[in-house]
Amino acid sequence: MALMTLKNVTKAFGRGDTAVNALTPTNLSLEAGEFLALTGPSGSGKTTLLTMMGALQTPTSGQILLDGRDIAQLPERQRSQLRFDEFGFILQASNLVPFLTVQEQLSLVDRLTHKKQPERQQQLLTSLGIWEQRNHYPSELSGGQRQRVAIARAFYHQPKMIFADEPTASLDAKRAVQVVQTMAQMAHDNQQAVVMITHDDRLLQYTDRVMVMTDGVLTEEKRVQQGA
Amino acid sequence: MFLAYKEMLRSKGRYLLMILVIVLVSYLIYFLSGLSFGLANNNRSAIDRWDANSVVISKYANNSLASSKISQAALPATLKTTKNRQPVSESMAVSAHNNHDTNVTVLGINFKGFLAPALISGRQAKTSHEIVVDQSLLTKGLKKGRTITLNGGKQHYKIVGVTKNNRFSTLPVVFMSVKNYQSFTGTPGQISGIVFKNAEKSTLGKTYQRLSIQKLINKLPGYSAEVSTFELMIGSLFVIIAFIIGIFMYIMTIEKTQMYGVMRAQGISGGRIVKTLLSQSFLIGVVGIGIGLILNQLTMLAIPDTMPYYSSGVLVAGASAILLVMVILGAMVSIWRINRIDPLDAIGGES
Repeated sequence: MALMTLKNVTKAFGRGDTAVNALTPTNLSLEAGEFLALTGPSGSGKTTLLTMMGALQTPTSGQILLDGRDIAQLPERQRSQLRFDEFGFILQASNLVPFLTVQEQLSLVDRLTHKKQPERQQQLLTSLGIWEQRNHYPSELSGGQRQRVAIARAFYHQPKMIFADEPTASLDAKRAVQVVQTMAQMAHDNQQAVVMITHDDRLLQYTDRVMVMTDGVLTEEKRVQQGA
Repeated sequence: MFLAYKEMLRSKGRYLLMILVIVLVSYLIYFLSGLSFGLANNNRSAIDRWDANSVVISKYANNSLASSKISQAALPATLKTTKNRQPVSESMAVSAHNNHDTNVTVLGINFKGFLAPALISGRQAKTSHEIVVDQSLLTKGLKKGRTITLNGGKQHYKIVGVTKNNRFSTLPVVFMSVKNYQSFTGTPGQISGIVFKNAEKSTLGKTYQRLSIQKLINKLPGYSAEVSTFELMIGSLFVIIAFIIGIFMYIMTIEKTQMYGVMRAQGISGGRIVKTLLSQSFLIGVVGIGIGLILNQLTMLAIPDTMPYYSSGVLVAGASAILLVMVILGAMVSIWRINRIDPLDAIGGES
């Protein structure tokens, strides 16, 4: 069974004659361990789709099944809990708490879940190459380091899905590739699904699948399998 | 608490500033309330010691005991002296000893009745020209056994007993017998009023009126104006601290909107963010009020005895509790703002 399935999901803003269809009926299926890239021009509805899959807002109609359970119209309180338990977010802007050190960003999650996983903290931060910086505050890190901390934060509680909104926008090309490779690696290793919005075509080769959004219509990009 | 504490450690300056404001305001509140209570006490302590229900005075006297003149001979049966119904006379005078003058309130009472003051040394007055005085009159070498003169007269009055906390209209009280008082003032057969220990019904007619003890106190010259001025100042300070902390916290909340948006997106509930805010306001409140209290205690050590400053535990505890509530109330204004934060705000771009 697919991890997440979208059935005829639509989103309209406004009502009646002035309503704008941001998303035409969309169907999509995502497997565990799959790294999906979402691309397309600005204003085409990519973020709208991402936020609905990430339970940040509700679709106007349609079903969003997570492990077979429809999460499309859950009330905010339940969606909030769902985001906390099952999802991770990597955002364009720094999504770190400015007054917590790198390691405390992860400890915060521990405190909220009443768990203690110091080994996991060390393993995760080490694998991302930021264990040395564990006692630094976000303001003391470079853009690339900050984004790697954000990745650590998103993956830390082992969510089923990761949603990334232009995670490499503030990085140079070399760093961007490293960050995306790391995300792909972690997704494959832990069987977590990743949905990433990006404008950077060079990054698409590191993903498993590319979908293009144009004016609220989602289409799959046919591409030649690389490597194999 | 983790977030609350970590944030306070990271931005010490801001929180120290808020603590400083709370320290200053709480110190001011303690000081003003101590002063207010002390001054009020100075006005009324002698009346409070009576532990009485009401006083009957002349109708024309405009609620003032000092202005009231009642002829003992003309009193109806319902106002005659009994165990629970005692005559009192009151006037201001100048006490002198060794060329040293002090303003006092002279009370004429019956030393065998319930108005007789509680003594801390000596005995009640018995013969003529014996008096009992408040402790605070005993300065510049004056003590029990010595004499004073009143209003520049030749008559010497001997201090045979000392009482404490007996001040009337801010002045130390000189107690003498009603007879003695009448010869001192040259008003034989006349008293100022009749104090009732308990509630009693009596027809008072057109000549007399009854004042409750509270009204008697409120009508003391300057008393109500003084007390209400202090109440207004202290009350304003409570409101001001709520506003200051509220504005501080609100601005800091607005500054953190982006971060809160991200937290909400990550599934951290608004309730948890509110809890953080409230624990922070509780912490700065407790620390600020604590320091204010310590400063108040230090000030009390330095205050001269002559200053009417009275700080009671109940009063300070009450003021502290209200302060803490106001600080937290101020912070609670931001809850409204936090609840309006949309996790979608954290996701830039199109939506």
